[in-house]
Amino acid sequence: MDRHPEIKRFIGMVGNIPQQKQWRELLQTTLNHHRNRDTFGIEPITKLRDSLGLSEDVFSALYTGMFCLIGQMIRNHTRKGTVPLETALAEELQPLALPEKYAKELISGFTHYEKSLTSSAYAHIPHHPSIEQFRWRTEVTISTSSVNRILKPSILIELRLTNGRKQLLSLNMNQFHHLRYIVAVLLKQMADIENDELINRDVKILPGVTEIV
Amino acid sequence: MTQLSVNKLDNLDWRFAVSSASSDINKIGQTFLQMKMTIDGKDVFFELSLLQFFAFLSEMEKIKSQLDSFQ
Repeated sequence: MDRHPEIKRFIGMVGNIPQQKQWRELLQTTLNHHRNRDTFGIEPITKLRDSLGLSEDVFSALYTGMFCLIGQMIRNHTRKGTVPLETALAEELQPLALPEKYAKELISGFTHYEKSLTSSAYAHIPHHPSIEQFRWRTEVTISTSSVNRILKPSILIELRLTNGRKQLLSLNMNQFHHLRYIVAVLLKQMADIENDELINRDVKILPGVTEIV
Repeated sequence: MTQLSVNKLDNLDWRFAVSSASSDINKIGQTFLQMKMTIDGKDVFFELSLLQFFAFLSEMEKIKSQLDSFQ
């Protein structure tokens, strides 16, 4: 953590915050920024800058450094370890040589908002759109413009994705059974990964799935 | 010399089917017509219920009778 360039610069500039009240304001604003990344505007940051009365360069180095520091703390502590969180954080912050009161306040603020910080971090993991709604219909084709009498079954699937896009799929019987087979294989592989000893048992990929029938 | 045209219908295919099961309970046992129009090289799909199809057919018949009256 002490090798991160923004954090190194931040440590060098902590002397510009002589009062604990100023440190508390800086900490609170950056914690709120991490917790509400989508809705956090520019106003709280400009308000903080005016309150601290620092130059633009010093303020931006301090704010960026604090933001990166909390980001690294979230990244290193999103999974529960065997050591209590406060102890682990104190050990991690030791090389930074922060003033004792400031370090205690940082640890206390982080542990207070731990859940919301973690859930915000998980919400911002880059991922593809997932399925919001799944509708289906089985149909029997009676006739078409090319053939008079078919009586062939097929499946129509409508997927509504989380990015608002709608995808329509039409499958014949072979394609549908192939899709079923692939989904079953994937479910089995996900359950195998979950049961693997290398994976942390506190992180459940498929809660409640212990056996694939 | 090619004529100026917009949204030219290149091809029309259709499929007549009946739904046998659905995630939406109300849609079971309904007949429908699926049509595929190829317009300017692009495929456009749409589905009509029987009522909608008969309304569509009625409009087509009106257009046909108008065209026949010009001949």
